[in-house]
Amino acid sequence: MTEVLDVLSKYFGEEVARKLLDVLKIEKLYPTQEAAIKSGVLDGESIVLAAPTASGKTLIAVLAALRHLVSGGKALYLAPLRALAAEKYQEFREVFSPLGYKVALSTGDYDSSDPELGKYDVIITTNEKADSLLRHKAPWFSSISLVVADEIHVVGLEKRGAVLEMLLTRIRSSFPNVQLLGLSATVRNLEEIASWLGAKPVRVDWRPVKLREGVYYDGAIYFHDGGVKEVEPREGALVDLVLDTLEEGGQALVFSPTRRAAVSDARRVSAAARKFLSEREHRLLAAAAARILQSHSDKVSEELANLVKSGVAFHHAGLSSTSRSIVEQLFRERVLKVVVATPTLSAGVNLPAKRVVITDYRRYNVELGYHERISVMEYKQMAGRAGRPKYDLEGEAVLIARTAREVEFLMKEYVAASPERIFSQLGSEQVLRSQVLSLVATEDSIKDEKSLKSVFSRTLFSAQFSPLAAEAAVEKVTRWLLSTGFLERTGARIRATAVGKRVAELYIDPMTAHMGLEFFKSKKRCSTLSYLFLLASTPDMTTVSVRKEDIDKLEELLQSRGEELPSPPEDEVEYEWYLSRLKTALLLEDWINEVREDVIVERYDVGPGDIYSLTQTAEWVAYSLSQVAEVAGFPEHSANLSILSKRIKHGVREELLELVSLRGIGRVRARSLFNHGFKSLYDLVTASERDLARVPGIGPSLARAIKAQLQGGAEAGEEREVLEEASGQSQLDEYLYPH
Amino acid sequence: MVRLVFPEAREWRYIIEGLAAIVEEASFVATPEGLKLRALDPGRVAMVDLFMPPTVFEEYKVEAEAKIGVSFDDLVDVMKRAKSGDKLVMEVSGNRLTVTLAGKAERRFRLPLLDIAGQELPTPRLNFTVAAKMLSDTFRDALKDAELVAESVRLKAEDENLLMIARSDKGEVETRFSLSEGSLMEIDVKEPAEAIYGIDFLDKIVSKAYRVSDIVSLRFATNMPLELTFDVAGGGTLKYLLAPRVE
Repeated sequence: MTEVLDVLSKYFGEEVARKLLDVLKIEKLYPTQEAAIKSGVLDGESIVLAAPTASGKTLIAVLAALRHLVSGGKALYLAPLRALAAEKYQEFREVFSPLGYKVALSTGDYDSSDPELGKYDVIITTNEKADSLLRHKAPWFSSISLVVADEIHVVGLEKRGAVLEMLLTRIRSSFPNVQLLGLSATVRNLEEIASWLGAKPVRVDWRPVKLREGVYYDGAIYFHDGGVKEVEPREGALVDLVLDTLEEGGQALVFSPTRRAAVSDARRVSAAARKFLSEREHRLLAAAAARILQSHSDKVSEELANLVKSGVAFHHAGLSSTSRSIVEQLFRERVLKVVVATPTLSAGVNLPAKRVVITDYRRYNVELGYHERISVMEYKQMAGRAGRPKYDLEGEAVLIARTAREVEFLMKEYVAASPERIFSQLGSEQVLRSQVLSLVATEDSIKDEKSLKSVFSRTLFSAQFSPLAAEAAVEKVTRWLLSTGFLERTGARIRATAVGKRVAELYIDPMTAHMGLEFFKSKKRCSTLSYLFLLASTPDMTTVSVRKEDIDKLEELLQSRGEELPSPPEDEVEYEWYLSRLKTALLLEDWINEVREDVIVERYDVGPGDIYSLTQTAEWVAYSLSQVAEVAGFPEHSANLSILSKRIKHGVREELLELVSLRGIGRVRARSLFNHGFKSLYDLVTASERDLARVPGIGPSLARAIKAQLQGGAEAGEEREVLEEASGQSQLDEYLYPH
Repeated sequence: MVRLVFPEAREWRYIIEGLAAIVEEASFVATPEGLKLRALDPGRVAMVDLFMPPTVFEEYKVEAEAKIGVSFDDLVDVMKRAKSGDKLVMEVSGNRLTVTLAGKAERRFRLPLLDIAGQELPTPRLNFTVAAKMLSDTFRDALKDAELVAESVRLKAEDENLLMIARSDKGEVETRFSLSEGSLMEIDVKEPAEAIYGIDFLDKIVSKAYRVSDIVSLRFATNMPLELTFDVAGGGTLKYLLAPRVE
């Protein structure tokens, strides 16, 4: 204790250091933390730290941030995913609030500069949101003195990697005095990444719990350290491996290649897992299942609720956010025994378990439609989840081999392999055209191709693939932006046009805007479905995949409503894309025509989480295109798309838009009010609270809240939520549902 | 068709107020075996469970099981109009509930029936280790004392004693109930137990239900819900279950 106190006192003074230890509840520093401090992270040195998960990287960020705060600076924390940003926000708030500093989380709306963020000391955000804030020239950006880039190895990921690369490049060139702290998983070319950022590379291989990696084949795990562990053969590799762990009192985290496999694997282990539940756990799980069903009643949530009662859950992007957080919390509390996840979880959430089982070294690529090998880095990320600090003495990561030959292959290609080099993804045209436009539109120092190229010369791309390659790519994209009218040239000077400026601010792919403009030019009026098809065709949207059984129905629809759509392409592959866009457009059409969520889940074979993310993206693309239409002089299209974006946001017909603007009124309640004669805010103002309370789904307290809102009253509902969270009050569900 | 006649409307008022302490809207279920209502409060912290057998009614006519969904705000307002000596008649037909207060004059109130969705709640099966009985007033007074300093109370049972402890930076209040001093009428401690409950809920419940019965029966166990039972004169029970707070 005295040792940590000494170290911290040196940087923060004894009084603050004592307070800090009180809040942090730590007794000694981890080797990772010692190494980072030794490298000067608290003396203003920029570093990139590569270390395993759970090795205490967050604390380093906390200390570095505090170092800036005590001398009047500000910290910006970049996370690659919203879920991670939210998790860090919690952690930072717990430390900084007692010390009197303010922490903000900003992940939403890409069309705003959020000036109020300037009032906060630590700003936590996603890479994308930070990029959009930079484009909106957020005034407080210049007062940032520390930038923490979490999971900096995502620089090597397609699309999202390039956003982070440009963001860091721009921060470095616009604010050269900012201290940079990069946190990374283990990567091979750490030195290269660090030198690109002008930072010191720090590599630490220490883990809080020992990790043993191995391959399972035919009744035994062959560990890389030479050890062999027999696993009693009972019901097949996966169930046996899970049972073996549960018998030792551990939990298992299983990775399956697809959502479907995750669900069926979860089902397979559920019978075995059930036996390991105590009475209390049965009760808690039954209550959790009830909570899941209360929030959503579709097929996916029902299946999940059913499995949860047996102590097993699946976890993938199709889950509703409520379900996801229930599953994560129960696993952390050790009540859930097994979670079967798709590999996306390995990047997203920190859910350590005694044993990690990887059922397949391949993963299904939805966009390309085939199985691809996972990278060594991904494998290491999954394997790194093995071993829970405080609960397990050591963690085990096990790959399942199907043949004797595969044992050797997996051992060599994954277990014994070191992670790949990280390569810049800035070569992708989609990212480049967006970044070039944004630079020209928002950076005053960029006036011509030369200054543009000089920014790109500071990228990782330029360092890895030669400055010439970077220049050539920039030239090509600039030509396209000039020809589409987002940029204009007078002599050597390049400038963004009015439309181009707006596109950059809106944070959409210029190609999306281009497609919109072509559409507006060719059509004077068009149906809702044609707009929805347009949205589904843009590169900013994701689409739902088409099953064999969908094809007949989609083609029938093409017969009857074909005139609302562009004619289908001849090429077979193109045609498949066309159908998946059509399916996506139809899903959105059902959504805004108030088709029930559980029906959509069934009809389109998606999860509630997919509906949420699809509609969120579609709302944003529709909003952006309505803005583009306005600037480019298509007022009618602009008005239609603006209404459409609101309908997508709330999932309602146009007649309900007024009602859903109220807090607490979603698509279902709005419809109920409307059908009972309350069709507008005016109707609600003149109605009595008592009449409102009688409408099914409203009730007295909501009726009161509606009236209060209409009178501009207090936000009573939100306050109540906060209070309940704080009290430690348990809910009866936990005790009501016997197993 | 449902037709229920209850001899003393004032008594019903207290029962309705006791229900309204927990729920805003809920359905009575009228069956040939009796009238029931089981519902959770919106925050799912407390449950109320009412059972009134046909024998407590002067007339009990239920041809087929019927759900009677009501807003308790409305019903409480109506019941407040009951005068001493009034008889209560409840009738359901179509989608209306007619409440008649019959005294010197006959006053008839018509309320719309609410269609309240929601799953049926199971009968809780809990293993309580402590059971005690005392005057409702004694319990109510102790709560009022505790309220001065804290938002929650710790109930603790050991030997033949029941303790109610409230603690905060404002101070500490401890009430001891025992057989020897007469503050307890009965106590049975199978295993010592201790649990914490929110005062707001306890107070809401007890401040209404003490008028239903002079005596309250308590049952609880360590970190388990607290059950409070008030017996209705002539048969019938008004029961509450309150989830504990966890530390």
